[in-house]
Amino acid sequence: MIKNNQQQYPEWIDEFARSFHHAFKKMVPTSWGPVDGWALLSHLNGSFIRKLHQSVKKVKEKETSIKEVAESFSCPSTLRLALYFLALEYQFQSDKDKKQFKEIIEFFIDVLKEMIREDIFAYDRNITHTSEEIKNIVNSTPWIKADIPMAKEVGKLYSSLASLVYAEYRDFFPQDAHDIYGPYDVSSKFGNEAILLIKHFIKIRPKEIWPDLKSSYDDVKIFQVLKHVKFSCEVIGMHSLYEGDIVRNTVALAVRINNKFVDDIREVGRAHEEIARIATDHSRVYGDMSEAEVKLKFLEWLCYQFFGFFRIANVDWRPTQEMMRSVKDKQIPNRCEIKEFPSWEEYRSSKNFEIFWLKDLYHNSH
Amino acid sequence: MKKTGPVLTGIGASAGIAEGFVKIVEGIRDISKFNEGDILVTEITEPSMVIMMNKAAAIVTNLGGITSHPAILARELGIPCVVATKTATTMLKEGMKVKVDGTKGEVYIAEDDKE
Repeated sequence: MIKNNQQQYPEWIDEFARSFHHAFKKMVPTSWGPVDGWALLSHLNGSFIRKLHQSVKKVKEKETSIKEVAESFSCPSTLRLALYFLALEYQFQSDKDKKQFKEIIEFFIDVLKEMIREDIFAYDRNITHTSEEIKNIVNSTPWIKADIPMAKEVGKLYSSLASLVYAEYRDFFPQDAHDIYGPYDVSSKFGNEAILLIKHFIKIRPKEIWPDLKSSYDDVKIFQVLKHVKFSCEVIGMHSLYEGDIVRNTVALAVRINNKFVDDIREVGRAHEEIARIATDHSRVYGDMSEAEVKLKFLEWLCYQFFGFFRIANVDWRPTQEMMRSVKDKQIPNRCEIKEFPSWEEYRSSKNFEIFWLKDLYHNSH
Repeated sequence: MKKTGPVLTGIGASAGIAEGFVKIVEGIRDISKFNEGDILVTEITEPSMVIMMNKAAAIVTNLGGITSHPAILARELGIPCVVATKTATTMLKEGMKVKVDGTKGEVYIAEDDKE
């Protein structure tokens, strides 16, 4: 616990603040859409928090293991951002129920600790595997010795998949289908300074939210070994940053599409072309959506982050009537109106931001 | 010979240098005009532009930060990218030949500047 003036609060809140501020200060929210998510979240007034609380209670009553709950999420970045959105909703909730929200947050912090090996809010790395797991991956993966043409085709595969995810989940929720794990030291197998990144695309055929999507791709993993390249990421694992050219410095690759390893460059080429076409076709849907439909889609994305968890709780994952009523008549811009993120001092201490309210959960004055 | 400076500056989001012909794009309807090796210039990239991004020699945008969609994808593709130029779509003209320096975050008019 941290003691700050009269307050005590758990260390994870400072880690949360540090990682989110580090990531968001580099972002430019004004291009984000198809709706101003921050504005929408500010109107929920606890309706999603109440839905989640009901499910947390059910899961606890069933005595479901934390491990099983952790496995119900697509990736750690999903849960990190889900916690951020919950904190935002709580910040604006007019009739705050501290006990209720504290129970939810502490439950999911324990789940996040189950998913991550170090630094649960991923300040600059996203370590989800043990060294034993990495050793097994390195020894059992059918590696391809990478050359520039293959590295370029895999780059295009990544680009097509990332664009498909962006088309399906837009600006606030792409992390629900896309994460990067690492960097892992694999120098014992691949030589000095070799690192492994695992780039995972999951939930890329979300038929529950896009029933008309025509795609046969469910899950793609790219295992990429790089040398002389420095990698870092953020609280959103797919916000990858490199020092060094990754195409020229890729020394080994493996590509797994729908649980089958692919080693033919032509097959990788066919896959990225097909996925790019799916992404392009799907991007058209937003042009035909009404304002009401866009709001509902945002609520669906919000709930879909917990799709596996709601299944464990035996609760309908879809937005509740209360959630839909809370945003129905609200004027919400179609692009974010926040121009920049606040300073560090303001973010960690002002009542205008969620960190203050997270710390307040542990303040016993009332 | 007089050396001219950059015609545009922004954030260098993906390192490297590439030359090519500018194509100002807005979406799906621009796919048919985009050739392999062109320079993709847009307000901010959208998923509808992925076919063009995969063919581009470089990407230049008006908006975006170091972890925006164009920046992340350009790094994975190994092509130069300059974001947050504010005026790329107005300062650059269709068919102009440019040199994009993604390391410095600069765009120059190249010699033989017409397609």
